Amino acid sequence: MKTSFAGVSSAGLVAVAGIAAAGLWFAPMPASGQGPAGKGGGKGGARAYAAPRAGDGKADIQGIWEAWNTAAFNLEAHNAATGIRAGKSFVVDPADGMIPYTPAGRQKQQQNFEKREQLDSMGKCYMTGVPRFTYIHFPFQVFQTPKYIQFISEFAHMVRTIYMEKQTHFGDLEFWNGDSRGHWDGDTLVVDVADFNDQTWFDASGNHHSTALKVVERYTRTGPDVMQYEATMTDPQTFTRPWTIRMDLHRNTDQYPTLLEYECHSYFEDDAIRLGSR
Amino acid sequence: MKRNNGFSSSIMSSLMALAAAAAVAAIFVVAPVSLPGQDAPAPAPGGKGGGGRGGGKQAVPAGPVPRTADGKPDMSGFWGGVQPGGVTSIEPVQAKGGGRGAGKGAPGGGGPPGAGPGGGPPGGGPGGPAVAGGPGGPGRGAPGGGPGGPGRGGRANSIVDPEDGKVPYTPEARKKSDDLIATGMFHEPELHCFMSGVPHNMWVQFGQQTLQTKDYVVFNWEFMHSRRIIPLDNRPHQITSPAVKLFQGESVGHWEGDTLVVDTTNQNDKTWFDTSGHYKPEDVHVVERFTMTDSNTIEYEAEITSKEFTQPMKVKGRQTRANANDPNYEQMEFACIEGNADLQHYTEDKGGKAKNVGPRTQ
Repeated sequence: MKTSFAGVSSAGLVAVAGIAAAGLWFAPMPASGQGPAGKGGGKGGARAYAAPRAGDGKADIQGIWEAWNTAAFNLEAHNAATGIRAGKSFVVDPADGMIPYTPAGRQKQQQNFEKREQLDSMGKCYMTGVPRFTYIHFPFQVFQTPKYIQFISEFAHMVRTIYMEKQTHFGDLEFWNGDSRGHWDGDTLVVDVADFNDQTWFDASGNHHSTALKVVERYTRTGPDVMQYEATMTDPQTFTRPWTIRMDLHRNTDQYPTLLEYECHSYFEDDAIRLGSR
Repeated sequence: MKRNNGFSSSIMSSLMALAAAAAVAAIFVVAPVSLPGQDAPAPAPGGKGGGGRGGGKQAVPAGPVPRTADGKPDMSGFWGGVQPGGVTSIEPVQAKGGGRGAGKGAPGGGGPPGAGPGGGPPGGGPGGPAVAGGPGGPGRGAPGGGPGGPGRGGRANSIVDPEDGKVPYTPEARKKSDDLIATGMFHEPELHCFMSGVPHNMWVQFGQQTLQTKDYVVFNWEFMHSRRIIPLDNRPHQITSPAVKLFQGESVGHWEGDTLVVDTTNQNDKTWFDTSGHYKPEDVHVVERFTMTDSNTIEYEAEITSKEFTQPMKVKGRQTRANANDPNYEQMEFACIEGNADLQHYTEDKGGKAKNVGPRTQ
């Protein structure tokens, strides 16, 4: 990254402080693990690894997981910018690593990017939507039973319940995090997500979708502490074809892993009082 | 509890109730309701108290306590909130001064007023404090009018120790609580879409989904999509500094025979025991005991200690299985922050704050 400190204006620094206060873009990240796309997955086949078993004999994917990468900023390859690390693309299909927008879709993404500080609903502490839930810079904990699997995010106590029995969506409802129906494909948890609203983005760079979005996620443990995550997005109103992202998630290996709280809006209120805007 | 008397008090109560009703209504707009397989919200306050979601729809007879593979009581499934709890007020609310019709409250959904025994005609008795009825949501019967004791249009006390059913605040703490009740509705935590804290979250409306594995019990509430994660892996508290403050605190649990015992520390001071202003001191140490007595019943007990109490406080109640007769029941997404048009007033000076806000004691 070439940006020199001298090139940052004082206004820029104020903006950085604001963003850091919001805590969304400056979440602490391990230095390692830039863009692991392809590292574990090869051409989509997960490495052969015998995952531990849950009580019902299925692969056990429980634990606290987190993406250590730059997907939260932008799923596509991108330059560094204020508060944003440069990153490789996580889009593995199409091969050019670009989200296959319609021309209007790309235009809207660019407009979103220009006004990202105002328009990103995650900046308002709203639920992130899916797949963004998985790779924001906040961990999520997986709890697993035969009937349903629950993902609980540290960010704004988001909860996704993935029902394993009934497979049909509502069809006429809209949810921030969609409606998730899961099944096992061998040791891979496959989650079919639909019934989205159009208020969420895929990342902090304005990559977006319509209510027609459908997501198919695949979670596959590829090592004791690594889970490969793959998601395929279909939305004919926004994209010219389906597209797929892939990355590794990393497990919290503490003796007693603990998911704490990021009660987003309460800190805005604290800041408002601290900064005297009341 | 000591309150201002007379007309101004009544007006304030009405304002609080209106504000709460508006906020609840706002929340409802974004929450998907009336789906197939979903119970309609329980009747408006004033009735016997529906026991939260599912309380009135119990169709499956109780059987023996179900067990997990490792022989522990299996609490998985959907449950109504602890009754009696204290959605509106954790303390007993007595009608005062001509209070026939007291407690008709202002339900979010606009239910029939004064349905409780002794409930007067709508609007009856301007002196009737609607205090506890105000933010009252569905699912819990606010006390009917009249000085009805436990079981008579009201409810048994939620607090069983002290015997008077009141939070054993020190005089200073009681004054703080009274101030909040009088003027602090702006700070009501659930209007901010905060998680409710412990034990308050155990009696929120709309019910709870419990997930249980060998190492964890997880409570998920539809309301606010609040959650509590209770590890059972015999860990000591991981948060050892009292400086760390969390909405739900840090809980660790273990089994004592068939009773799940949960020890919770490190809560913040941003939540209350209820929605009326009985604040929860920041230093509370909460020990809860969950004992399943049959397939449909969990007996609940919590002992709460604090330097701002004159004695330990004990809460007792019961959770009843919900939706047992609907194997396809699913909890819905409850967007709160996302639809809350009031949130800007909490961070920006929009005028509304100046009108409502009392001394910021929280």
